Amino acid sequence: MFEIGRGAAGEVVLKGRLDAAQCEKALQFFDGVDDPHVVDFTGLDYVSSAGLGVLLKTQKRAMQAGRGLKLVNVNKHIFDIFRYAGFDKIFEIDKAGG
Amino acid sequence: MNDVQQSTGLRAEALLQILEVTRKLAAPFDLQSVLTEIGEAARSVLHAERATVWLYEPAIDALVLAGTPADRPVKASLENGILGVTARTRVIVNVPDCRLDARFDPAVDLDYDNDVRCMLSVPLVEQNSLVGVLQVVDRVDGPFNLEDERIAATLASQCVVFIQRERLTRTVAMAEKLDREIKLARDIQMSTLPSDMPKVPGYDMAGQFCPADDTGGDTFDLVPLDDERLFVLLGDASGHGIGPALSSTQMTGMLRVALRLGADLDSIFTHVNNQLVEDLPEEHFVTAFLGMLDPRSHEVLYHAAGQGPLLHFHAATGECEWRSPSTFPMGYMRYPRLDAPSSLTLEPGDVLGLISDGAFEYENGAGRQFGTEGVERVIGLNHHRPMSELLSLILEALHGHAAGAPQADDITIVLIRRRAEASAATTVQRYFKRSFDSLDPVFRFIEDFLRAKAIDPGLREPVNFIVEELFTNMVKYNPDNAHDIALALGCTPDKLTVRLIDFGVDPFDVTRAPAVDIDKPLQDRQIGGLGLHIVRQMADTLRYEFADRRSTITFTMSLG
Repeated sequence: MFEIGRGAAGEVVLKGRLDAAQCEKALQFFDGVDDPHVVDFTGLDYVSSAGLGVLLKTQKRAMQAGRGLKLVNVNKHIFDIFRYAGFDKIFEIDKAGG
Repeated sequence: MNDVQQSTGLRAEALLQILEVTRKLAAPFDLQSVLTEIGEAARSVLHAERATVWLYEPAIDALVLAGTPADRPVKASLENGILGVTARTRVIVNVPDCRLDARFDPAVDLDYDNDVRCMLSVPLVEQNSLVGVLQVVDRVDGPFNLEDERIAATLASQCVVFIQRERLTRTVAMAEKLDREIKLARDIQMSTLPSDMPKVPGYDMAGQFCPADDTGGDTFDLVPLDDERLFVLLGDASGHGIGPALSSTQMTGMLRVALRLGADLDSIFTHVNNQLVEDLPEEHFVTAFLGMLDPRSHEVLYHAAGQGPLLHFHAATGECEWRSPSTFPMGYMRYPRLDAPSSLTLEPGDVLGLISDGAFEYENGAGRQFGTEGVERVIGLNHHRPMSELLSLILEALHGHAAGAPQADDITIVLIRRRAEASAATTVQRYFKRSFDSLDPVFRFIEDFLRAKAIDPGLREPVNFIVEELFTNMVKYNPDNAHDIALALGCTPDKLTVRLIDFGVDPFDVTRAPAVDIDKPLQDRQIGGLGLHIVRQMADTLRYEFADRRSTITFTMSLG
C-alpha cells in the first residue's frame, strides 16, 4: 500500500511503502506539484532505492526552481538509508521526533 | 512477435536442424563426409559464412584441417591463433571483432583475404581429451551471441559422437576379433554415462551400469536443467552385439541435444521416438524411462516406454509400489497422438528405483529369477542409507542370488531418494515470478519467516531493502527470461542468511559494481548504482557466485 497526496499546509504527504512498483505513481504526483518543498514522511514505513531515485529527480527540479525539498518526520530506518546514500548532504532532513 | 517467442522459435528451429543433421549422419559415412556435413550444418544453423572442422592428431600434436588431402594436409600447431587458444583451453572462444583481438592469427585462423570479422571457436572434447576444433566464421547479422554459443556447443557434442562413432566403425571394420569389437562398443557406450551424480537440493541419487559379458544396450543419464529440474533416463536397446550399444548411445546423444535446446518432455519423447523409428532396423526397439523430476514440487512426470516395473518405495508405509510401463517401447511406431505423461510424487524418504530387466531376470543355476522380491528385500531394510550404498547392496544381493551363474544381460540401476530430513530444515525457499508485482509476496514471505523465527522486527525493512534491490535488478536486466527467481531464507542463532538465485543468466557480480561518490554536489548525483552501494553497507557479508548460467547472491545480517 502506498499513498501520496497534499496536506493542509500544501506539504506532500507520503504513506505506506514506496517500493519499485509504486515509483511511477510517486513520480507522476511530484511532477504535478509546481513548487514542491516540504515532504512529510510521518506515515511512510519503507523506501527502496527506486524511491530514492524519485526524490533525487524531484530535488534537482526543485533546486532549479529556487528552493529544495525539506524531508520531515523521517523514521530511523529510512534516515539510515538516506545517510548511506549521502542524501543528508543534498537534502534538508528532519528526523522523526527530533 | 515478442522476444520470448522469438527465442523459443530460434530454439525450435535449431532443434529441428540439428535433429536433421543427426538423421543424415545416422547413415554410414566416411569421416570426411561426416566432417563436411557437420561444417555445413554449423554454417547453416548459425547463419555464418564459413565453418571448418579441425581434427587433433596426437601423433604429431597438431590440428589438421578436415577436407585437405592426406598427402598434403593443412596443419596448425596448438601454439597460435584463436584456434590454438581453443585447443589448449578447451573452452568456447567467441571473438566479436577479430581485428581487435591480439590472439587472432590470420595465418592459423585462415584469414587469407584479411576480411574475417567475427569468429566462434568451439573445442571438440571427449572424456577430457581433445578431438578437434570447430570454427564458425562471420555470422551474417553481426557477432555471435550466447544463444549461438549454446547451439554451437550442442552441435560440437554431436560432432564428437559422430567422429568417435565413425572412428569406432572404421576400427571395428578392421578388427578381426569379436572381443575387440565388443570392447570398443563398450567404451563408447560407457563414455556417454554420467561420470558424477548431479547435486539436486533435497535429493540423494546413485546410478550404475554393469555390462554383461556379451554386449547389451543399456544406458542411463541424469541431466540437471537450468531451472533445477532433473532429467532422468534409463534405456535398454533390444538385441545383443554392437548394434544395441550404438542405438542407446545415439539415443542419449539426441536426448542431450533436445534438453540443451530447452525442449519439453513430450516433444523430446515424440522427436526421439520418431527418429528411432527411422533409424533402427526392423524388429529392434528401445525400452526407456524418460522422466522429469521437479525438486520443488517433488513430482516426477514420465513416459515409461516399455520400461518397467518401476519402483516407488513409500517411506511412510514401508511399501514397494511397482508401476507398469505407460506406453510402447521407443522406435516401435510413430505416435499419432501422445498421451499425457504419467506422474508420481515423492514424499520425504521415498525412493524412485529404475532397474533394467537384466536385474529382475538374472537367473541362478536353478533357473530361478531375482525378480522384484529380490529388490524389495534389500530396499525394505536399507532405504534410509545413502543411495550409493543401497545400490551396492542390491548388486551384492544379485550376485549372492546368482551364485556364480553368468550375467546374461546388462544391468542398470538408478536410485533417487527424496531426503527425509529436508522438511525439518531451518531454511525456506520459494520461487517468485520475474515481475515488480512479486514484491508484495516477497515482502510477505520475508515477514512470515522473521516472525516465525522471532527475529528482531527492526531487521525487516533493511532486509526488504536489500532483497528488493537485488530482486528488481534481476527483473530489470533479464525481463524476458522465463525462469522464476528463487529466494531462500535461513537462520542460525547469530545470523540471518538470505539467498537469491537467478537462473539462465549471464554473470553480473554485484559485489564488484562500481563505487558511488556520495560527496558529489546534487547536480552531479545519479541514481544508477546507488542501490547496490547502500546494499553493500547494510549487509554484514555479501557474496556472489556464478555457475551453470546461474547467479547466486548471498547476504547475511547478524542477529542480536
